[in-house]
Amino acid sequence: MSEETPKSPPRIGVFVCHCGKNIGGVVDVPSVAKFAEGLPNVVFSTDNLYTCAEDGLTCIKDAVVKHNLNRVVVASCTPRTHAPLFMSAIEEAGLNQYLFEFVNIRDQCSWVHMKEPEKATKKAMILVEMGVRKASLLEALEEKEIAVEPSALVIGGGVAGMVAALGIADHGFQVHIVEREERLGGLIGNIEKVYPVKRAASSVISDLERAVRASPMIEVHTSSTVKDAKGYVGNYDVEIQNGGASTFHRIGAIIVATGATEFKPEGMYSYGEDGRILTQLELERQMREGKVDGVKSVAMIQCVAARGEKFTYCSKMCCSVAIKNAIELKTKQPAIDVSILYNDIQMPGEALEKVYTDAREMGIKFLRFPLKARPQVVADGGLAVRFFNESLGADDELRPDLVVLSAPLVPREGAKELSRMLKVPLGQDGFFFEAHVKLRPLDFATDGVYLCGTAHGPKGLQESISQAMGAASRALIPLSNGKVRGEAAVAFADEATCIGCGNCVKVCPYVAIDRVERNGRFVAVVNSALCKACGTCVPACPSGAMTQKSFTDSQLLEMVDAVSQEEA
Amino acid sequence: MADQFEPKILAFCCNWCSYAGADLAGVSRMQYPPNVRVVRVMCSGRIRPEAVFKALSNGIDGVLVLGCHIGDCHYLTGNHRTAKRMLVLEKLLDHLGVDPRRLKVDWISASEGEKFSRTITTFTEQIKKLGPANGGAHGRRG
Amino acid sequence: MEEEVRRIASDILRGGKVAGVLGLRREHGQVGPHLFTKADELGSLVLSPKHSLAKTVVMLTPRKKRLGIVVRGCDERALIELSKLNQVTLNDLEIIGITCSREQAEECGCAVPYPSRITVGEKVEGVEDPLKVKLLAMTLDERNGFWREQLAKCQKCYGCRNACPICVCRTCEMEQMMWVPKGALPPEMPTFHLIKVFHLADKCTGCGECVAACPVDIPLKTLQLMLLDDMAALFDYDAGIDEGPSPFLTSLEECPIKEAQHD
Repeated sequence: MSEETPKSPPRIGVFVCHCGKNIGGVVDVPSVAKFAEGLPNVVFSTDNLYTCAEDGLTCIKDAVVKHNLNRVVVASCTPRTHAPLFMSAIEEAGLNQYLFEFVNIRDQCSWVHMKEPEKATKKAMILVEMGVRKASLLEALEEKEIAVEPSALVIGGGVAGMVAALGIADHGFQVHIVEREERLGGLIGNIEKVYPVKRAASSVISDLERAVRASPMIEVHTSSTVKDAKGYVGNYDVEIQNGGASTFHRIGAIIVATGATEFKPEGMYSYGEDGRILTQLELERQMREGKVDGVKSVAMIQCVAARGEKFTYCSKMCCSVAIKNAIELKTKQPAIDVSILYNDIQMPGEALEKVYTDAREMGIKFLRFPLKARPQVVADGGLAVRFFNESLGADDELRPDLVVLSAPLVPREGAKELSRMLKVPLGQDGFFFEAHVKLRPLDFATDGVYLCGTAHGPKGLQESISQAMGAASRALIPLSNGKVRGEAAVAFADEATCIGCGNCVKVCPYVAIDRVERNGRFVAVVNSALCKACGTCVPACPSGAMTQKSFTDSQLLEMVDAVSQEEA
Repeated sequence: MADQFEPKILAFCCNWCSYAGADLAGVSRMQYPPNVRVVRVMCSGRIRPEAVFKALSNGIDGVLVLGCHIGDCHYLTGNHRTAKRMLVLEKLLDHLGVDPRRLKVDWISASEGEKFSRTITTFTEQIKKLGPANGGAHGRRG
Repeated sequence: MEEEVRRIASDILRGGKVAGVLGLRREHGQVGPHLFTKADELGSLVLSPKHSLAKTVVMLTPRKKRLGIVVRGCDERALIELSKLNQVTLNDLEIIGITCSREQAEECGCAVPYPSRITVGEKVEGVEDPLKVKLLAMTLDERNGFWREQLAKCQKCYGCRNACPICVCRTCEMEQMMWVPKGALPPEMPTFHLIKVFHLADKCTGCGECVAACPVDIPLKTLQLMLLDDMAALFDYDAGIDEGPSPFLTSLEECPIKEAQHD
């Protein structure tokens, strides 16, 4: 592959396409080719019926060799579909594929000016001139490759973390799981049963833990934290701290599976004032410890602090958790009176819907309240729950033995520090924020770091597990390839001009620029393996030190100048 | 002289959204005035305000800066900076006595071929009414 | 005020807090910037005429010792902006902030004639730049005519750029052929001036050195002041006063646009 920008003056070949009648039927293609002949640095110009056909490509390749071309301009359809084809053709002819410029005279010319053939022809000519002017300044480019360390770090040893770790280990890569607590298992270590399968949560954990501990590829670090993670995709230097001791590891990919925790609604609904007002997790623990056996009536309140009360979001699982616990209570003591005060019930899917039906058939009461007037809990010796009952259309009151508050999942402590360490963002609610909600839900914008489980936001076990498997697959892409390829049209900071202001570092969405000391001064250095070639750093540079290859200021200004100079 | 005035329009389009939207307008055979010349960039964040006012100083009568919708930028936040920079540029043009309507920033997604075509048509007509920009200190135009 | 400043400078020098104090010295009837390293030199320290020493600090960065510096409001703002550009380190400076008088504020058309940390002097209220007021009242065409006339006078001496305390780039785009063709006077209008104006839109401190340096009296500062007002209105951002990054560098989440402009 030819890497060098030709040192000789530009020798440009222009190939104008008829595309059958698509272009040729409106634009006078032969005149455009003739016009191009007269442009500076153009040594060869021709027209083709279908430049993308075999004979068209051969024409280009032959011309490159015969006329010693060192830049090629094709004027035809759109680079978005056909650029790769022409670029590989010129590469075959021995020219670096980036010494190529595409001019769009079909989708953005002949097809949209069908009734004005003369003006369309004139426009095609000026567009070709713009392309030729830019081509004169094009340089040969390469896509930088960096090696990827064949190991992964999973931060968080809950269900999502363990599933992700197994997914990667199964492909033969070393995985380190770092868990803050003494035990693996995470959030569901606090609960009894998981619905709708009605399995013991502890068995879900123990199955996973057994597999994790049995795997020779997985190293488990409990009571440990990630003290530092420096570097970039494929090349992280990670420090894992356990008590006072640290171990250092080279890591290729990182998965964030740090989970979430149940919000404690201090100061709301009289929580904290009376031991008979509990959260759902606290209820499950008390049920496990047999402390609920004498209770005759329970009132559960949904959407506590959520959906606009303190947090904006719905925590997705509180309904299924509440109904699960209600069913468990009622199953153990059929005479117990259980009421669930709700605004909307979220039980998606057939299995959960059936659970909801079962709950109602068991006699569990569902009482609706409006979001703008939440129930009030008063501890007055007993417990009073006052609310507006929407079904009755009147104020109502319950006097249960126990009040259970369904509070949302919230981000865990330490999320902010971790987000800074890994240079990944948090969203509005403090959960980790994915690269794109639809197109890249398990990636971060920062390459090499992936996301799964409740660290991303409230979700159930099924969804967490799916995400964990998905995140493992995403991480396996760079791991399996052993390398990552960067973009070609990357940004580049001229060391002599750069004043080290750091503006570019601040604007880069991919954290691809570093401010480093060189020869006694601070300057910006672009990591061309991480750079995504957007060019946002260029306008941020006060001194013009930053350029973007193939979209340099001089190239763009030449194109603008061609339009300025165009005769009316 | 003014009755036959055909403005020169420059449009900076980002590869992933507005340029793709322009292609879609073509595929759908939507017709619009032939005054516009498109310069493709990867992201609207690449566009320097200096290039825009240089264009307006050199015989170009109207400049369009077309990027992805806010929140949909292929490069996440590139268009955020564009939005802010171009807004200040519009103010600067006004302070200088250059009609700020000669610069238009708009967000056009890859699926909005119709919006692209409509934007070009409306803008071209607007600039026609405004007349030549009379840019250039050395008699290039006007 | 001069006595007070000399006394403070003397204290910090003698006390070993700083290795030198940057200020103005009157010697042989001339006033110029000077690095006072001995307390007995301080008798010649003066406060007028106004001259920004912020750029001098850039030339003396990095260094091993702390430096004292006498600053007016605009100087302090310049230092803050330069610090955001990583060209000076505020922590290694001992700032002696002085206020400007009402007369000085009027001379400069300065809206904030005092630093945030005032060491010596009484704060006076700022004034509106009278030209700014006049321009805002003009029509678009009138402003166009005004600036055409003004910018046509330009001799391309680069005085405005050289005098500006924030202009510290090693190579300047105002000197590059691709932006401003060589060999023409006046230089391409308004490109030549707009490069400076736009680059400083989020940084200008209103010090007026550009106007003082211009041999043909182009009121460039007024254009910058109008943009500073825009930055405040659009983004709640005050150059030289806010410690946060420029709105041009942040996302819309970090720094949204206040007025509804685009859909």
